Amino acid sequence: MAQVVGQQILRDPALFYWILFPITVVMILTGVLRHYATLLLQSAPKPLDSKAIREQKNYLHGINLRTNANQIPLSSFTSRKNYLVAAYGAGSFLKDPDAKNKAPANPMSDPNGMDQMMNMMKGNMMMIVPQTVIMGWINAFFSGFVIMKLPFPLTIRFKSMLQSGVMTKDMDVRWVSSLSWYFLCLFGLRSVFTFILGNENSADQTMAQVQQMNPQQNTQQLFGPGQDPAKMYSAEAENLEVMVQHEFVLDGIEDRILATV
Amino acid sequence: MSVDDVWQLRSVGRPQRLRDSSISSARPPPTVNRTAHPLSPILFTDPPPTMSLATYLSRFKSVSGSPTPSESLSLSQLAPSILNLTITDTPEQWTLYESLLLTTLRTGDDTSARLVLQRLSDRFGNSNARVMALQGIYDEATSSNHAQLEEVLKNYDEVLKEDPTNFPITKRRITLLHHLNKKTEAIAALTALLDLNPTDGECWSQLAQYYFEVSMFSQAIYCLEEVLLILPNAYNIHARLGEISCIAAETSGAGKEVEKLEASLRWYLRAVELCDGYLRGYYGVKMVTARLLQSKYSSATRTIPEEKVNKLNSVATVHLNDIVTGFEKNKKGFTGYNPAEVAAAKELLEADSSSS
Repeated sequence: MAQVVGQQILRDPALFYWILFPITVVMILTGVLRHYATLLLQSAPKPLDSKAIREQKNYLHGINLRTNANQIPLSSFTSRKNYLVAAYGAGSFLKDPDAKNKAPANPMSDPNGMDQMMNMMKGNMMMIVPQTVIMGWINAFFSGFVIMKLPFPLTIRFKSMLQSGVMTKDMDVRWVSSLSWYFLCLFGLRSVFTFILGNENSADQTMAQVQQMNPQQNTQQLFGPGQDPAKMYSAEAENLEVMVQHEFVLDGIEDRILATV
Repeated sequence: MSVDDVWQLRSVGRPQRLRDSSISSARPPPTVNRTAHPLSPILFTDPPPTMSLATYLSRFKSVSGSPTPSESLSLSQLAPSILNLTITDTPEQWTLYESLLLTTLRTGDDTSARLVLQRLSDRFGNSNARVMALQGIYDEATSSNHAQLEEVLKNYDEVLKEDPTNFPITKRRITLLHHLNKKTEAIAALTALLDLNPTDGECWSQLAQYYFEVSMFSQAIYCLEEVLLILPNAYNIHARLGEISCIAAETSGAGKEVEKLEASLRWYLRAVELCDGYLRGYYGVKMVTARLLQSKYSSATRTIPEEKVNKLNSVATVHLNDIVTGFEKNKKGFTGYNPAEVAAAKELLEADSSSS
């Protein structure tokens, strides 16, 4: 397709004041509003009860022992290892030791998991509702407007990105339609929000997506719903048991010190 | 000054910190402390009236975990100007408030402490675990007799009945038990807490201290090893292990002594390896090597040959000499040591030179 060089379209300057500018402002304001609404809707994570804390911390204890085993003498390590392997195997740190042989509970019926899912849903709703409304608004009022011209040339590939809602085949890619401007704002305002609201804002949807990907990172829960602590414990016991290599860091320290002088 | 631990205050009179029960951060910080030289006339320097929050915070941070009375006093005198700053509701501000609360309690400025505590509880609510612990510290510090302390203890018990996972209050209760001379109860409560949360290094180091006080050395060593599993680079814990094994060597039966002294020497060496310029470490190396070189051990079987022990002794002497002279001349890089420790090192060096 031959591009018309210097394609000219006469635009009403009012397009800038009545479409481009309002869309941008509305997008920023919704972002800010969304941030505060999310803050309001967020329920504080429920504090864990002592049994759950015990279950998690004793698991971490085993991991600590495994990673820093070389810091303590072999005899100390062996006694700890034997104790932990026996305790892990017997399941004495589990929240409910009877559940050890049962099938893992359905995450949907787990009240903790429900809580988490409820939070996730709230977050999702905060994204979906305003986006639907604004997109509907733009489609109803501004569809089909060409509102600005980019100051640089682009390849044809960008046409679908920059000119959605305008079905003109021969128009230069540099022209941007209102709907596309909306999308650009939706994905591109991140740094603006960081500037306005600080680093950990919930206005930007990419952040929310990242959080959805690994929901366990921000919560206190070490064992997510659906994970079976009993299995994780026995796996850790196995890890400890197969550790054969132990190099005490204090071995030969006198030579190391003398070598540095 | 670290404000992270609730241990650091004793209950009656003016709180003070148990010696060396703190844990250094994982990264060995420089022993150099250029901001507050201990001998500088801190008392007579008036702070300029308009200091920023950050300046105040850095002044508090420049003081060690166990401040001397004069340091505490100079910090406590900052109270009016800090309280006059506008409340900005930043984390730094509240950290500063916490440190200020502890300092004012140390120096007996109870009115300022009350005000600071009031602001903290206004912001975070009375039911916040940390604020509750700070309130407890205030109550303990301001109570004047035994009966009042028992009252505070009863309060803690009630709080814990409602919420057994309130760790700050649990820690306060243990400290108070220990202070009221119920040492076995304190140790039992602390072991129970550690069963619940075995990844808290602070608890382990405190338990080690309690065991040490009742001369249960092997238990104390076990606890300190547990700390090393959590913070593998805590050089002061290594030195503490050296100290305790050295003391344990004295009480152990014949034949085991050399073995324990060598273990102690190795712990000290590790401390020195992790942090050069660590005075306690070199002091320990020198002391233990000197003991190992005593003639009564000459026939004993040892794993470190005598010539190496000799060499290590002279290495420690050189370093200690450096530190002592550097400190006395106020040389750059040698400030910030505890004057008492330097004096002890000097004494050791003099005793050594006069005997040889």
